[in-house]
Amino acid sequence: METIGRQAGDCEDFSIAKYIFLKVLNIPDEKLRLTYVRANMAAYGVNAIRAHMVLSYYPTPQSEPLILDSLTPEILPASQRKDLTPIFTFNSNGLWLGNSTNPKASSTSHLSKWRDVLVRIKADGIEY
Amino acid sequence: MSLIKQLWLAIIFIIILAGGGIFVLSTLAAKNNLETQLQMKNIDNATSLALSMSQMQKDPVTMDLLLSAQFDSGHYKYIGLYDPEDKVISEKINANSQTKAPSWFVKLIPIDVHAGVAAIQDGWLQYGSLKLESDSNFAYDKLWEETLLIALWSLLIGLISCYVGGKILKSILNPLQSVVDQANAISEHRFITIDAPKTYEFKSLVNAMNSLSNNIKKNVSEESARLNELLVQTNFDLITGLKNYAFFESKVDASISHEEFAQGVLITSRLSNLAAIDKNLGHEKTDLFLKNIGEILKAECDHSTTLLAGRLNGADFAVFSNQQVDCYTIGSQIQNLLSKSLVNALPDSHFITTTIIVRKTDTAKKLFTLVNQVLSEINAGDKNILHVIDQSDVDNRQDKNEAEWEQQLISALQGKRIKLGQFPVSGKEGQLIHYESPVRLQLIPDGNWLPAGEFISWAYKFNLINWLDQLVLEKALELLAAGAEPIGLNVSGSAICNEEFVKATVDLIKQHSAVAHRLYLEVPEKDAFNHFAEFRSFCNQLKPYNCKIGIEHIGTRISELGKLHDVGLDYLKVDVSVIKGIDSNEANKTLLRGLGMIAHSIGTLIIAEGVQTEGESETLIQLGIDGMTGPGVKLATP
Repeated sequence: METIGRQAGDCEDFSIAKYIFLKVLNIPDEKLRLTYVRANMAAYGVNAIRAHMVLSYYPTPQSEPLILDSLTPEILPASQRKDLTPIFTFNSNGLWLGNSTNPKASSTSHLSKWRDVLVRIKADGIEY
Repeated sequence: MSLIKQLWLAIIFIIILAGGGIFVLSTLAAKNNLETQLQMKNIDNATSLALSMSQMQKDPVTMDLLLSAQFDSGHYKYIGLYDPEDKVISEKINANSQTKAPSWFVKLIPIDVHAGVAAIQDGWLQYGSLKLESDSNFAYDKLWEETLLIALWSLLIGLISCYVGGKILKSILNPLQSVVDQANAISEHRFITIDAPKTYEFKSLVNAMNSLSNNIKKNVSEESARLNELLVQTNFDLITGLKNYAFFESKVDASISHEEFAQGVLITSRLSNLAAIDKNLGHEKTDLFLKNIGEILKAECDHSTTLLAGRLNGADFAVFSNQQVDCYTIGSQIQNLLSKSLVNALPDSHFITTTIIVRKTDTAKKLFTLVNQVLSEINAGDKNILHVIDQSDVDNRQDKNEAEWEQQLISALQGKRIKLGQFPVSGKEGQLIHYESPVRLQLIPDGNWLPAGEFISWAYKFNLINWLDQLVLEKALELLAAGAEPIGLNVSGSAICNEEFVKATVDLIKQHSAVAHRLYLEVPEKDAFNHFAEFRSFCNQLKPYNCKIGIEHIGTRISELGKLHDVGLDYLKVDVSVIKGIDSNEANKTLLRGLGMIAHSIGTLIIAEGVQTEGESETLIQLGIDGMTGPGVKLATP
C-alpha cells in the first residue's frame, strides 16, 4: 500500500504488489511464484551481482515461466532473462491451509516475514 | 445435614472445579502450544529441505538420498516428493513410531498438525513440491507426561487446599459449637451465658441468647429476693432472725409428717427473767443480746442440716432435730451453747432447757403445750438446768436394738426385700404426673414392710444408705422397664456428693435409657443448695438421658432459687409448711404465686406437697400450681 501510495519501493515490494494484484484478478495461486533470483546488474550498467526478487508466472506446472520484473517493464519468458539465476521460489501455498483464510499458527510472533506480509495485506482489506 | 458438612462439600466441590478447570485448561494450552510448534517445524523443515533440493542436481537418486538423509536423521512421520502434477515421485513413511500415551488419550486430545509444503525449483522450472509431516508421537509423549504431572500437582494442591480449608473452616466454625450448645441448653431450660465469639453473626446471636438468659436470671433472682423478704417478714422473728412460732410449728409438723421421719428430738430453752434483763440493759442492748442468741442457733442449724431453730415467744427458743439422736447429748450441747452466751453478758440470767422425744404420732402443738407446762413447773433458781423428758425410755430402745438393726438391714438389702410405695402426684386435671415412691423394707423375710422412716436413719448410721439408694434405683428402673407408671425417687445430699453413687446412677440409667424419661429424681432443697456444685454436676450428668430432676421441700431457701436458672430442672416441689392452710393464708398465697412465676420462667413445673383438703387443692389450682401430692390428692378416674 505504501509502495503504491508513494509510487516507490524496492524489488520485493513490487513483486509482492504484483502477486497480490494478480491474485485479486483470480489468477490461481499455483501459477504464481515469488522467486528469489541472483541478478547480474551488468545489463543495467552496474557491474555487480545483487539479490533480487521477481514474480514468475507458470501457465502450466511444467512450462517455462514468464518473469514479471521491476528492473524491466517487459514481461519475458525465463529463457530470455539471462541476467537472472533463480535461487528459490515460494507462494502462499502451504502457508494458507485448505480453504482456511486464517494462518494456522495462532500468534503473529511466530509468523515468518512472508506470512507477516500476507497478514498485513489482509489487514489492509485486500481479498484475494 | 450439618452446616459443617455442607461447607465441606462446598469446599471440595470448589476445589475440584478449580483444580479440574486448571487441569483441562493447561492440558489444552499445552496441546495448542505443541501444535503450533509442530506446525512451524513442518513448514520450516519443508522449506529448508526444498531450498537445499532446489540447489541440487535433480537426478532421482540424489533426490531420494536427500530425502532419506533428512528422514532418518530427524523425527518425521512422512516426507513425500511430488511432481508439479501432484504425483508421488518418492516418499518415506515412518510406520513404527509409537507413543507412550494410551490410545484413549490420543483420541481425546488429538494433536492436529498439517503437513508443511514447499516448492522445489529446477532452474526456472518447477521440479515439484515437498510435503513433510513431523512425528507427532513425541508430542503425544510430552503431552501425556505433562498431563500426568499436572494431574499429580492438581491433586497435591487440591489435598493441601482441603487441609488448609479444613483448618480455616474449623477456626471459623469453632464458635458455632458453643453457640449450638447454648441454644440446646436454653431449649432444655438451662439459661446459661457464654462468651461472645468474634465472628459478627455469631456474636449477635450469642448476645441475644445471653441477654435472654440474663433477663431470666435477673427476673428469677429479683423475684426470689422479693419472695424471700416476704417469707422473712411473715415467717421469721424480726429481732433474732429465727423462725417465728407459727412457722416453726408448721416446719416441725411438716418434718414429722415426712415419709422418712421416725423419731426426733425437740429442745426448748427458756431464758429466765427476760423482763428484768430488758429493764436493766435497755431495749437496744437486749435486742442485741437476743440477736446474738439467734445467730448462735442459726450457726448450729447451718452446721447440721437435721436441725431447725425457732423463737417460740419472747424468752423461749426451740431447736428441733428430725433424727434419732440422744436426748441428753443434744440437749446439753444446745444448753452449753446458750449458757456460754450468758456468761459475759448476763451472769445473773439462766437457761432452763428441756428435751423431749418426738414420735411420728406427735404434733408440734401438743408438744409445745406439754413443754410449756414442764417449763413452768421447773423452778430454776439460779442455775442452768437441763431436763430430759422420758429420757430413760429412749436409751433403752436404742441400745437394745442397734446390733439387731444392722444385721437385719444388711440381710434385707442382700435379699433385695425392697418395695416401692406409691403416692400419686397429680396434675391440674387430676392426671398422674408420677408416683412418689418411698422405699419399704422387709427386715425379716415375710415380715412387715417397714416405711422408710423406721429404718432410714439406721441406714445412715451403718453407712448402708448408698447401697440402699442403688437398690431402690435398680428396682425403680426395673419396674419402669416392665411398663410401670412414672416413678419419683428421693435422692439425698450425701448421695449426690458421692461420686461413686453418681457414676453408678448414670450407668444404671444409661442401661435403661429407653425408660429414663419416666424416672423423676428429687433432691431436698437443703441438700441441693448446700452442695450446689455437686447438685449441678449431678444434673448435668443425668440430663442427657432425659430423666426428670427436681427439688423437693422448697420453702426455706427461696432467695437462692435464682441460682437454678441454668441448671435445667424439671420440677420444684413446695414444702408442706408453705402449703398447709394455703386457702386461708394470704401471705403464703403471695409467696406461692411468686414461686409459680419463678418456676415457670425457668421452665419447671411447680408441685405442692402435703395437700390435705379440698379447699387447699382448689386454692392451689387458682394460684397456678401445676401439680400436687399429699393425703388430699386423688387421681381423676378415667
